[in-house]
Amino acid sequence: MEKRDLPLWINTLLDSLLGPDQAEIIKGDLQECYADHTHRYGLRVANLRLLGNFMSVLRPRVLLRRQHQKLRNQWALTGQDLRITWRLFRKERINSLLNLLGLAIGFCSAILAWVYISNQLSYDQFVPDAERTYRIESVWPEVGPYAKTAFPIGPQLVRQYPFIEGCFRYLQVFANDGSGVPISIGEAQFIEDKIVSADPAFIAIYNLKFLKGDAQTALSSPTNIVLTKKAAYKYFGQEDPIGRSITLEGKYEMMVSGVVESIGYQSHLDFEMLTPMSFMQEVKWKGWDGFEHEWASSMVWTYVLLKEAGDREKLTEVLNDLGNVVPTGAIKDGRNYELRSQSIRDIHLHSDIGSEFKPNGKMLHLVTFGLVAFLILTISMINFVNLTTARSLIRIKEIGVKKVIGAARAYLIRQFYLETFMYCMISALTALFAFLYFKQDFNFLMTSSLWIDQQNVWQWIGFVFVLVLLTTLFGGFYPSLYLSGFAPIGVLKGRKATGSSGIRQALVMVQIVASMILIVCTLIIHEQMSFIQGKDLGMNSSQLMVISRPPRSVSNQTVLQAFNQYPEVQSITAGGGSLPGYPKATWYYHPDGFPKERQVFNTAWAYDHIAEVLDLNLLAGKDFNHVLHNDSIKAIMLNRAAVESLGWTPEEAIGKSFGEYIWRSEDTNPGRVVAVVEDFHYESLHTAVEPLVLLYTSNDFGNLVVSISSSNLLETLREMERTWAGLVPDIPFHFRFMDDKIAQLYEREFRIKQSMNFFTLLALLTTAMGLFGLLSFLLMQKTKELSIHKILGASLVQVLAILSQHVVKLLGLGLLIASALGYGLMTYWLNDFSYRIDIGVLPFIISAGLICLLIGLLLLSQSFHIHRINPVKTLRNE
Amino acid sequence: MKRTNLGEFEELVLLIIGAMDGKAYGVPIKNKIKEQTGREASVGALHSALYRLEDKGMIEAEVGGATAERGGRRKKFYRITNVGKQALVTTYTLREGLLKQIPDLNFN
Repeated sequence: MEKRDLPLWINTLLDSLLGPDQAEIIKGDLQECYADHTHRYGLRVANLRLLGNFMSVLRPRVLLRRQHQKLRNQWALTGQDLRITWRLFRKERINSLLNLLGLAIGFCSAILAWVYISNQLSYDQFVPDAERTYRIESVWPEVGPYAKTAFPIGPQLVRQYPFIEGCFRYLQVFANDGSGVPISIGEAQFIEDKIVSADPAFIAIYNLKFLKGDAQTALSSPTNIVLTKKAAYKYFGQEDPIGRSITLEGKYEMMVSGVVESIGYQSHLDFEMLTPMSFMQEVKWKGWDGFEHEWASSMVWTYVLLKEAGDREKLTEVLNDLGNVVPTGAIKDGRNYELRSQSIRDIHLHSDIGSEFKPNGKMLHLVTFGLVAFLILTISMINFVNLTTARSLIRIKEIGVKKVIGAARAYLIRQFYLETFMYCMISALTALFAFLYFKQDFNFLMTSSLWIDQQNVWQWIGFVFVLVLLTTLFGGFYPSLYLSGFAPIGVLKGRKATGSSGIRQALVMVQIVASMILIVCTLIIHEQMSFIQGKDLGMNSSQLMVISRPPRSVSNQTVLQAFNQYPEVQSITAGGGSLPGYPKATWYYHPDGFPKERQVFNTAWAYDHIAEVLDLNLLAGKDFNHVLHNDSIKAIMLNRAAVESLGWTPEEAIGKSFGEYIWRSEDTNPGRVVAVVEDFHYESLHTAVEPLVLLYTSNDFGNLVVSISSSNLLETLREMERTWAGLVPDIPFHFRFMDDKIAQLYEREFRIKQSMNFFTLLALLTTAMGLFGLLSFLLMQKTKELSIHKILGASLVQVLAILSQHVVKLLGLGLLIASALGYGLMTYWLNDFSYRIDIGVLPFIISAGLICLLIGLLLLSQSFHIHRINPVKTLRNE
Repeated sequence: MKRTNLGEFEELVLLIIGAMDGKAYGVPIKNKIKEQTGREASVGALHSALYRLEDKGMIEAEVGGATAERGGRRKKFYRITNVGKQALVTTYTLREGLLKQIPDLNFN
């Protein structure tokens, strides 16, 4: 009888699936049966049966026997493992905690960045059909783009073009140039600076959520007023505000018709109180006269809703035509007034033009911030990986023992990954708690309100989970996959783990590079910010105060004279328009040589001694003075930029005629240049100083501008308040320091600087921890070697030298790379400023120095430690 | 006494191993099952049961005896342990006790 062997494919399959011993036995059985069946039933049947038997072998209990053989119960050790993990943790408490903390910090920054960036990106996205909603903007020759346009444009567009579905206009209600509106509720008086006025369509287009009151009718009457939830609580507490009355400026009684959810934290628009546009029209709020029908003005924010997103081109065309047609007379270099549109989705992060509602965010800052947070996260993850790797080397013996008693490799891998995962989870949870606990402080730091709602909670959690997984993956990689592969005997005998120094060195490099870049960036940003804030603005603003003008019933003059009595008041005047911190204002003039075309100039209006009050440098002529200058011929003060733009020298300018354009008239008011002052920054330092006209005006215009000495400031202010109350009983004394205003403009930048500092400190800390951990790791390997050196008589210095060898090379290379990258990054960031510092070498030297110092100290302490250790202890195990 | 939960098939295999007293390995066990009960046990099912019994400590194994029919491959001989014997006794006692409680049951 032929002895047929099993078919090849069965043979190979079984060989690969089963362990060698097991395969042999099972194949043997199959073979024997096969032979028997062939003998009894013939080949065909035998083949079928063989197939059947083969299939029966393919079952889990059989296939998985291999691992099973090793340790019957692979979970038996888990309990022990946990104990070991815990003991290790306690044995190196500091190190372990540092590890956890470092990772938690990294996670926390990542969470912060994630929430902040997603918040910022989501501004105005809640608006239904945001992709069809656009803001109309005007571009003036000479002065550039403004977010506001003329009053009649919006409705006209809706009337004339069917592809424009709707529009609304938005306006902030100011008491004077820039300050809040005095309101009274019953007897109580307040100043509210977030009152706006809008067409009723605003409610629909922006989909405001009404908590009380009816959305359809809330703004139907000119005396209606809608409050946000916050305002309602602030002014009415728990009571229902509907139907209650609020009086504006002591004159206009409004009735509360609704309460809505705030939108300020997720929109470029914001308000606490909302009045209808009809209100402004009816009471002819300040400056309203005439502008209602003026087509060439920048007065209100206008938003349109298109029928379809694709109609954008039509809109652009329409606006272009309109811009050409509108008579502005302000033509410069052949360029006329232009109209354009911008999607509301782009405004918050990409728009920074004149007369924005509030300072917008900036894409640049998001990028910078994201970058910083990413670096911190990376550093902390690298640290974690390093430290985990280092600590796992201690456990080689443990691994060896486990293998000997039968632990499968898969088991070891699972164990280490589980452990790493636990660490990561704990860190993540700590980070989450820290984030929630410190949310308030973070809000302050980031100049925003971080918010998480139902929709993005899951994204958020998902994000954190992904982080944890990634960290676990990389952190546990070395111990799990690499260490578990070692042959037990070699390990138990103490053969050193060679480890791939390449990876370790790369890790150190990355760490050094990242920390260096961060320090360099902070230093440079710090410098730039200080530069801006400290730069001489061309005027002394630190003791300048602006007092909101009293209502029409009391004249500025009265208050002015009253305040002038105080010795601390060095100088006082009235003014408005393009002053620092205030919205820029413009007007038209006919300077000598331009009889026909009116020229537009930034304008400020001021009373006597304005140059003195603002501490401006008089280049020619005399300061405003009511004795010299009267109303028949307007007195004009120009700044250097203005004079130069007209091609005059300061001396030439004096006496030249400078007519003031009269609203919608052919005549002009005669005017004469009486003074020229040096340029000063009446706008933000982001832009170069533009020509400015200061127009002498009666003291009844604008706010009171006071130059006040800072000694006894509090007392003086209290006195002034008392005097004020005497003169103007109904209206609260409201003042601001000009510094305030300016600071507000930069607030965003300043806060960014603060948060950068904070995060750099964090990064430094994390780097220090990381370097510390890494060095201990490197040193562990060297301990025995160095002890031998010590026995042979090495001094502390020599020990130090040996240790430093490795590090120095990496340090040098790392610092170079970091310098190159850092320089590039900073140059890109600084481009944003029109006044910027030169980068120079100093930041690089300082950063490098700091890092070297840090490493040096660590090396020193470790060398010292080794030097003192009794070599017997380290060499005992040999 | 530790609970010994023997599956029906496992118990069968155990019994047969006990009966074959040291000469039991894969194929003979399979044949004996066919002979005694008429059931065809597949190689896979059988080995599966053998592994389980081994893990439970009721049988122990010894490798040896390569023959030509097996293509020169060795066999794994199984022998019942005391634990296994005890398990069988316990089972038997339990069954016997319960059977006696059933009325009108004839043992022929």
